[in-house]
Amino acid sequence: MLFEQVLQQIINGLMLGSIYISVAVAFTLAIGILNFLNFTIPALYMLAGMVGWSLSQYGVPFGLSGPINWAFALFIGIICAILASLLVERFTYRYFKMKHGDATEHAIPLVSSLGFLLIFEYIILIAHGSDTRGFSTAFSNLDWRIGGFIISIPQLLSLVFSILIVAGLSVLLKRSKVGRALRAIAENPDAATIMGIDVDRIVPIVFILIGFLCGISAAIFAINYHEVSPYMGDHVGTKAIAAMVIGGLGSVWGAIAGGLIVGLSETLSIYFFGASSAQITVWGLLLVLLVFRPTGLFGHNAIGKGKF
Amino acid sequence: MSDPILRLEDISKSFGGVRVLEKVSFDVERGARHALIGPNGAGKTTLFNVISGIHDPEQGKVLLEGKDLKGIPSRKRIKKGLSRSFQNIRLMPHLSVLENVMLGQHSRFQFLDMVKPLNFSAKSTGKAEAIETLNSFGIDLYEGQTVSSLPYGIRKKIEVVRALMSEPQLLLLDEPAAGLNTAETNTLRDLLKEVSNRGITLLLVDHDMPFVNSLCEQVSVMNFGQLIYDGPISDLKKDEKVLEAYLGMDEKSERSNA
Repeated sequence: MLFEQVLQQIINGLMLGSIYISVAVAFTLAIGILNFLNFTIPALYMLAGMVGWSLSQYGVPFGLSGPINWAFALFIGIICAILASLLVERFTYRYFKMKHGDATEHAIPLVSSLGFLLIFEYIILIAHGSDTRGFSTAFSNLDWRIGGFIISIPQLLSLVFSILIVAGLSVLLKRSKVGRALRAIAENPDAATIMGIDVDRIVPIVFILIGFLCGISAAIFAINYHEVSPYMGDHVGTKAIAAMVIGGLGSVWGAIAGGLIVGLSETLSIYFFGASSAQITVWGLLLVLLVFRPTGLFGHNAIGKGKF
Repeated sequence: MSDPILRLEDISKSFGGVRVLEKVSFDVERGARHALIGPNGAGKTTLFNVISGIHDPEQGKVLLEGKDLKGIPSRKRIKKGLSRSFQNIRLMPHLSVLENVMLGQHSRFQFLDMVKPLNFSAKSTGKAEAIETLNSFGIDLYEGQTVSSLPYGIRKKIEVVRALMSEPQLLLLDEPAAGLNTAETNTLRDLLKEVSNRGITLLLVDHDMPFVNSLCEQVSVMNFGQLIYDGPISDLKKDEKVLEAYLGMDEKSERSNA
């Protein structure tokens, strides 16, 4: 009986991991290509979820429309996350690059991105309060029961979808011209510029991808866990950073492995030691892993330099 | 008769009050193999940085094919036919040989062309072109190896081939032979002669005089930020200022060693 329950927790853990995968990859892109720990990422995630909820509940502000279909509302939520991400690019990364020639040598963009995190969070708090809101979708209770185990079909599809998106991103980075330019920027932005790569126009693409990944992840969360809240980004953000580091900085596939490992250790920890133990287990695991493998599972020696 | 591809007019540049370049003027003829030599600290690399747009000169003009390059950033100069290699190799160490060479094609891409969703079409032609150029210079593809794992001499050659991918008219080479052994220097010289035979003008800085002598016909000599000689390399040893700048120092150092 215990064995079966643990196995069910493992299934749940892998499903939870699918939420962390996309957000971890978003962190990895920012660190790997731009050497920029982008703290706004959890807020982008939250923004997509809350905007989606708000639209599906009330419609467009000022009474311009009635409640919008949940799927379309989430789609607009994802667009909002992308736009917000571009706003962050404009006022953190690009601003400091223009002013100082290099954004990554300064801790300032990191602090600015933290500022954006709080501003976005409190705008939503003012608009909608701090309550957790229910998010109802068309397929709320589609479960697949095999041999006593419950596998939620939306969750299973989400996991597959997350992995497909990351695989697509990996192909984009490896095989396309934009991908090659991005990897060149990751290795040496100055040399990339001199080779004629338009760094200022390529970098926003990274932020568009970051917004997209966060938005997708939030949509998956809203569909599977039927709730959103202004604080939803905080929980995911810390786990995703842990997933990125466990998988290895700058490794897209590492972020998948890291996301699943974090999801697993979280659900198992909650099952055995109670709800409050999850962060201790995840971060304890991370610290121990870093002692034995400072580069993470799939990382390389040079932190975040041109790996993917 | 004279048909300069590059004309420098009274270039001056200071760093923090130190005059690094003082009214430097000379022409590089189309199709020439032109060397820029001078003792360390003479301002050669600074002049290269001014030509390629990394630094702006305080005075003077850089004219490429008769057009003033003022205000054109370095990444756009490469589109105008000006390409350069660096003193320290600036290949992307974790990319493959082929990818590094293909990066050189990026200056020819339009931005919108590049971000079209899943635009793989030009990749295949670019790949064929890169492989062909590498083969024509006798460089192995080193399939599956990153550039950081290759010997220095080969990386130097790859950097030259990469610079060629932007289809330059004028190729600036900053100390291409530095750090190479004799055999590697000889193969690099043959490669650069082949580049020159394809109609590309070469302007190079180097300290290796036998290398410069065997490759270049024209030479400009700088000392303390000033141009002290500009002419055929065969007359170089007859010039008194040059003898003073080079041999004078040698004598002094010999005396101090004695």
